[in-house]
Amino acid sequence: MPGQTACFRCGSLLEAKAGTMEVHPPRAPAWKKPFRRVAHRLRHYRALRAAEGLARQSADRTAYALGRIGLPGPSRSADAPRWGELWLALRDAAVALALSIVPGLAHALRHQFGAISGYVLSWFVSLVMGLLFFGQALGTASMASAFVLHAWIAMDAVVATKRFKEKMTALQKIGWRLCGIGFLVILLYAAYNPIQRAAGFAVGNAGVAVPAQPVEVGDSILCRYLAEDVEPPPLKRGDLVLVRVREIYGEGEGQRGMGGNYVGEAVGQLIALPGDQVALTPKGFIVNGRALDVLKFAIPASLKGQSARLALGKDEYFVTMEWRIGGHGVVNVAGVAAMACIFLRPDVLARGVMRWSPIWRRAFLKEFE
Amino acid sequence: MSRFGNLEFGDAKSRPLKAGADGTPIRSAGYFLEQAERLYLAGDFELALRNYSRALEQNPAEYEGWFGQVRMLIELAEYEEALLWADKALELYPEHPDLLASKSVASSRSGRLEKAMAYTDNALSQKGGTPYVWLARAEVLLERGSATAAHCVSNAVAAGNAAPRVELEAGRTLLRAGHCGTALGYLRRAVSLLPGSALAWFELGRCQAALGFPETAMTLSQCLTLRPNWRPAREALDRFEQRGLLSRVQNFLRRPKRG
Repeated sequence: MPGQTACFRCGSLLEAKAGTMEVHPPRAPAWKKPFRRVAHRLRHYRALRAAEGLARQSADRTAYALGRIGLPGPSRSADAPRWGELWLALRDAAVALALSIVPGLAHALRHQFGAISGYVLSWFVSLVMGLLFFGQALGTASMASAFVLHAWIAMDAVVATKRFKEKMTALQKIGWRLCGIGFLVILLYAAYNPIQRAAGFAVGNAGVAVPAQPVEVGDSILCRYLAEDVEPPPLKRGDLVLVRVREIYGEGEGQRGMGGNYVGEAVGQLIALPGDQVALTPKGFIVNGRALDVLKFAIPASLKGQSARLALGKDEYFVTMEWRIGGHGVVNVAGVAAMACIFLRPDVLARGVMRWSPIWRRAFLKEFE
Repeated sequence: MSRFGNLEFGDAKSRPLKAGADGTPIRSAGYFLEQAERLYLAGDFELALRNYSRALEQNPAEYEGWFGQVRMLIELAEYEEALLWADKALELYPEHPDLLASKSVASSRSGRLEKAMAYTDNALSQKGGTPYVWLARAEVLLERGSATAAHCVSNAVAAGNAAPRVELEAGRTLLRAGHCGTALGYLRRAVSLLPGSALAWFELGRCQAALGFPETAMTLSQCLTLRPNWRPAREALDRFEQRGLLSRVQNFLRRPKRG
């Protein structure tokens, strides 16, 4: 044996020829290791894809080797046709997706809930936060994170199905997961408004201050949508209502409550119902000859000190809120403002039920009549 | 000393260490191989590699030294060097199945799966398949997600007569591939058979941590008792102890039900 200094049978010393054989292995420099790690990972991803085709051959060779030494070899399952397998994988994925309408249900049925429990808990917390802060930035953000988590859980249920797992490479799984989550988030976002409408609640900002409630301008008010098939709607004078606001000037100028384009939604106070006679005086409102308490039926700043007299038609509601009126080219500002307070029935969307935000002032609204 | 003291009976581990006149062991190749084995079981791959090299300095014909060096290079994630060194060892021991298997492991870990499969095929085709050959096969197949890997692992354990080292290696192979549940059984047996091995305790701790078992802290503490200030074990223990509320709830839910 070249380089050997002692007999490997008896250990006796032989003629030493130092340096004839190197026995110290080469070592990798420390600085190279992180780069190599990245290279190995990249190579690994590429290799996994290429390995798919070889998998069956290698399984056969392993089976042969296992059989050669007399151990029971792996059963060679009668593989279904390729399209059949794909169909089964897709079917499993669809079932998992359907079950994941309830987050974690698909995992729980497969006894894999432990793996996803953290996500389900986070989803639940996000959902509760979203409901608690409904209609606010925090609530929207929490709801959005609940959507993403829900989508993640659903896609995890799909990717974790046995057939899907077998069919997909690691990279494909990541791709599927990301695409699926993106798609589900878009779907849930698109469903958000109809769901909110179906749930019957909306949050609007108060456009009027009512000292007796107390409500200040800018407070968030939780409103319940009015049923469209119930006429007349169950509204009382003094209620806070969510209305669709139109600009005063524009197309249809001059018609009561039929100003221009919609500019948004706001919460105002209902002063008078259809058929009422409304008089605006510097001291307050007079409805059907009865003077209303200014603490309960507040006069907006834009109408303060003005006088006007109006008779409401069949479908007209008098709802006050603060308007920004430039008065450009308008002689009777109060008249225009008062006209702007008239809303037709289709524009009265919801009735306020709770003072929603700030959260420390959260309470049910009072009824004045 | 008997003049037959240097005869080989095929089992290097049972070879008694020679002692000098003052009782200190003579630093022969056998001595360094013992040291390397001990250091490997303590998880100190760097020192184990040095001891394998020193064993080869004493006796370059010591096969275990060459094979040990290649294995330690793989453990130290120096795959290119491991491949190079395995080639060198193969010049001395052509077509040795263990060396071919070690090449397959190094190739597999460095992402050359096709080559790995070719090497392991070659290793399996040689006579005298050892547990390491089957474990290497299992590792390559696990990389590909093949179900046949489990057979290879059990075959390795059978071929090694359930030796503690083989149980440990089987557990490590499975743990590396993320099969924590299966690995747990092997690692528990390895720990019971090798209670003084810090590596066995560490791997068991890692496995338990992955499964969220509360015994993890105790296992890793035991590992640190055997090898104080071992960084990976210390980090694993810290990570486990500093896990957040969410992980704790998750672990609680993951915990298998008793009874």
